[in-house]
Amino acid sequence: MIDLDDVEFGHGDGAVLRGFELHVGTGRSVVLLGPSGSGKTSVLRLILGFATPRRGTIRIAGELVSSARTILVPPEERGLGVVFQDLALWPHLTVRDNLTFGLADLAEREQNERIAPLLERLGLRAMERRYPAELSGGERQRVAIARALALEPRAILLDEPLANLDAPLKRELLQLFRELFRERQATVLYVTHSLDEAALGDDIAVLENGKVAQQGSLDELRAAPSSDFIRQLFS
Amino acid sequence: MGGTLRRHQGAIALWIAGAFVAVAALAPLLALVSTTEGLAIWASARSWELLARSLGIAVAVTIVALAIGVPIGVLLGRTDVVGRRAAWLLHAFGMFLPPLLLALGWFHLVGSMLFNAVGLVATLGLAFAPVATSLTALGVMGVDAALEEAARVTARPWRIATRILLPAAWPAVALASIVVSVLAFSELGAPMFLRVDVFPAAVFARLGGVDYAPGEAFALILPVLLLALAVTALERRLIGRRSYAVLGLRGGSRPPLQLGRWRWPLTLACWGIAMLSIAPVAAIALRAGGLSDALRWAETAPYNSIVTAGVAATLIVAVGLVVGHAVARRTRGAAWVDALAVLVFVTPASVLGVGLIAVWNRGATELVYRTLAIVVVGFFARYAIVGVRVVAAVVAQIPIHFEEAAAASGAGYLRRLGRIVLPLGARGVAFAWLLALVFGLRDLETAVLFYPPGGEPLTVRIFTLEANGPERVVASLCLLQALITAGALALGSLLVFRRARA
Amino acid sequence: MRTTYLLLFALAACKPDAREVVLYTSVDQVFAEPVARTFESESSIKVSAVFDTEETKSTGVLNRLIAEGERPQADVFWSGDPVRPFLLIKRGLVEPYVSSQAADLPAGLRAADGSWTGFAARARVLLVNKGRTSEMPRSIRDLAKAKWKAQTAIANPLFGTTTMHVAALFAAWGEAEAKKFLEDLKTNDVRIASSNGEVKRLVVAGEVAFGLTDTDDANEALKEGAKVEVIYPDQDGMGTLVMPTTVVLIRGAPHGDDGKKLVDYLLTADVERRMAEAAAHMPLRAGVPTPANVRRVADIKAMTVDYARVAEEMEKIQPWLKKWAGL
Repeated sequence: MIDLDDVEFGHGDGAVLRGFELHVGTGRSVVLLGPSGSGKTSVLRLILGFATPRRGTIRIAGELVSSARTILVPPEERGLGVVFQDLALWPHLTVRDNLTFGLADLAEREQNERIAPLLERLGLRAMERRYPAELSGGERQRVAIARALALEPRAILLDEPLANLDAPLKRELLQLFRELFRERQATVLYVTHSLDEAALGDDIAVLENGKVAQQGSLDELRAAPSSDFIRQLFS
Repeated sequence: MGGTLRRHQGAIALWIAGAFVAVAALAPLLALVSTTEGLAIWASARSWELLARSLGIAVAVTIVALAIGVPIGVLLGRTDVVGRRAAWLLHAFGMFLPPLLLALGWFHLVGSMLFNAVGLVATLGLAFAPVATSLTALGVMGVDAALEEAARVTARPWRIATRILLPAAWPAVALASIVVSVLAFSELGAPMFLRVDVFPAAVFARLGGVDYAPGEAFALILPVLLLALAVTALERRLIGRRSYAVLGLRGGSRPPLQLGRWRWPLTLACWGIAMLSIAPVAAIALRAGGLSDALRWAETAPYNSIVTAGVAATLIVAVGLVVGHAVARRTRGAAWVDALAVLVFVTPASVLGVGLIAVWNRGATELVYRTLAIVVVGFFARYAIVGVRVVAAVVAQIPIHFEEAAAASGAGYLRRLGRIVLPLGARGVAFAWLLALVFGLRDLETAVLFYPPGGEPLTVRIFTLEANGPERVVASLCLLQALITAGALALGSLLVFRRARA
Repeated sequence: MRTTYLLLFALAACKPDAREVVLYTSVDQVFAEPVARTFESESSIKVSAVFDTEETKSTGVLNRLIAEGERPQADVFWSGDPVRPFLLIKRGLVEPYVSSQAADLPAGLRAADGSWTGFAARARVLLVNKGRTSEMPRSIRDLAKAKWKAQTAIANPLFGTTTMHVAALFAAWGEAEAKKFLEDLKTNDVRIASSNGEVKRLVVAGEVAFGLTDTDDANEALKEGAKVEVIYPDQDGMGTLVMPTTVVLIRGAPHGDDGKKLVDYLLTADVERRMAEAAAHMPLRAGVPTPANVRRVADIKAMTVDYARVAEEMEKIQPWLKKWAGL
């Protein structure tokens, strides 16, 4: 579903990503794991279309969306859902309006049909008319993921969404994400530096020196790490 | 086709907005370039002397304005000074009036001891101090609450103000310096009234003297334009993106810093400055003895002022929304439009006026030139920068993820602008409109050369009547000007300071 | 919101088809406007006017006329002095028109072909603060006399009637003598005010002993009750400079016929009377009643002036004058 081939990206003269390759199959969850500053967020921004690669190609469902120094398909046409680290819930819109914002092309009835199950599933029914400022941290997380899912996107991208949460909440939400993605057979790219969250994915892609150093299941990576860095990471 | 248009909404909008600025602002300058007769005027030492003097005055005024405005701005913006909002309004009121009006008021108060360079610096310094106050106050108000709250745990208000708030609000202070120095440099009316020879007067002489010499005038302002470009480039380099992170129009809900035993002394100091700022206006009001003279002599001038300033402000904000957003998000091409708007703001108004006549006094554009529309064009050209920069500052405060989330949700440029940026920045955009409105209301030098017959704004009417018009009548008209401005500010306060939902 | 504004603006821009005439004038607005309003009420023709500011006096409006030369917006120019219209005549911007009302105005103060017509005049006078000096100046040369060093004032010679006066001196004395006089003024620390009104203020405030200004400004000082004396200089010599206000019709004016009606009105005896009463302007025609403080032109010795020549001098001396004025 998501294919990055030989992508180079950076700021100024340096390159954060060089010869970067990543493939996320349809219905698969991939966790992109790497330390701070390794370029994880840049990968997401490239896929979303908010950054332009210097070299290489990016495809979504086979369609070429970005190539060297060119955005061929703008972000609003890529059919992706995103959960940012700061969630970016629109503070002036209610929970309901946050969810239906991306459904403007649908009639109101269809919008309700789309979001009602999500509100139910995520326990947000009672908060429909509230504003983000009136919600707790966990509730906001749920709204953010609901907003992304409401679009019925081709893929969902998450950029360290649980970074600022305490451990119990994190565990609870991780479990929720796992269930949701499985139910919907969603294609997911989940970016994190936290090993705890790495287990969310079917595959883990480890980012090292601007490339995916190794990609595989948690067990595979533990059993046969391809570098000292990966060995230390999973020890 | 529809898809292509939709995809390029942002670029098209920027081109259209840029075209507005180019037609209104660039065309008059280009019309003048063709009249330039070389740079011979710069062979005279006097030209350099005047330029140096004006620059010196501008620097002195900026220092005075910052010396007053920065500490007062911190106090009024973030501390528990008593009645700070009222003090701020009183203090800021003067900056919305033509400096010449304030000079007249000070003349009524202190007499002819004002008529020298020191008097001019004091008058303009006090007149423009509220610019520094307001920008500093808004800057410290916009500092991330988390930064301030982290400091409050360990430090006293003085340290918080000087070590946390001010450094974080430094772009605001830098912006204030630039605005004040440009205003001080290009001011014409007050220096002429106070009999101080300045550079803009030399330019004016080329256009108000007997041998009409726009070519010489343009040659004279070339260094000013180059200086403006240099200052803009320097600002970009030194302050960069932070230049726009100035207006903290969100988050006014933090408790103020407690001044403790310093509360009353500093309250008195703030109110003292506020009284000083309003004193010349009070002097004029006393001299006027009421509005009856004004109502007899004003004719349609107040209407002309309000309509032209209002329409211009709306245009300025509409264009400013597109360009300011592009500037804040560093969209390609935006920097050029911004630089053009800065250039025109710095161009002496009389030169702009002549260029506007050259461009618009044609058969095809008669509907513009012979009506109030030409004044709107002039105001738009001159004050477009207000819309661009204020909106840029507002947008810079809106986390980009809000727009990116909207884009990822399928919203195109116009929808993002209308449903995300505008609502979140509504207070700031309203502030931009208000600021553009009062700049238009206060304007004299721009409109005086080309207002349509019978369509003069009130400021122009005051100054044409000043020639042998009874002092009481002139003062009464000045009072009317002040009241109209006060009304605009009151209306604006309602719009801007209404509690936002977020 | 946008629609409302566009509507308002459209309303402002649209004018009903009423008759209109456009007047540009450098006569003080406080005097010229009531005259214009009377014309409006008597003729039902709306007068839309552009006035000059104190500082640019008579040159701001003039330059706008020149700047708009290709497409004139004005119908009539009522100038505060007789010399600036020549700058328009020279550029071919004036339509000659001999008004029937001009018949009883002195022939020497109007063009035979009607390209300009003079009426309601001012004179260049010395306004003296009686408290600052007991000795009265008698000539404009007294402005440069050492005994009054730093005690005299003139308006900026780049603007207003002072330009004309300086040009008249160049025409009368020749270049060398006139330049010397101006240099002597500088040596004598003469105060250069921004305008004639400012000269009046300086004299009334006692900041200078006396200054060179116009009769209407001097009259204002008298009306304010200031302890001042008005001297018509050089009555024993070359005479006092008299400056009629002048009216010209603009070539290619948008409302030419109504412009002629306005010219006719301005040149009536009634307007001369009103300008005498309100602005201390001296009537040129005989038989016009004047207040006691207003002299008649016939009662003073007027300087002999060829206004066309003065206009030429005015343009010629500009570069030198700019240097002298420091601008």
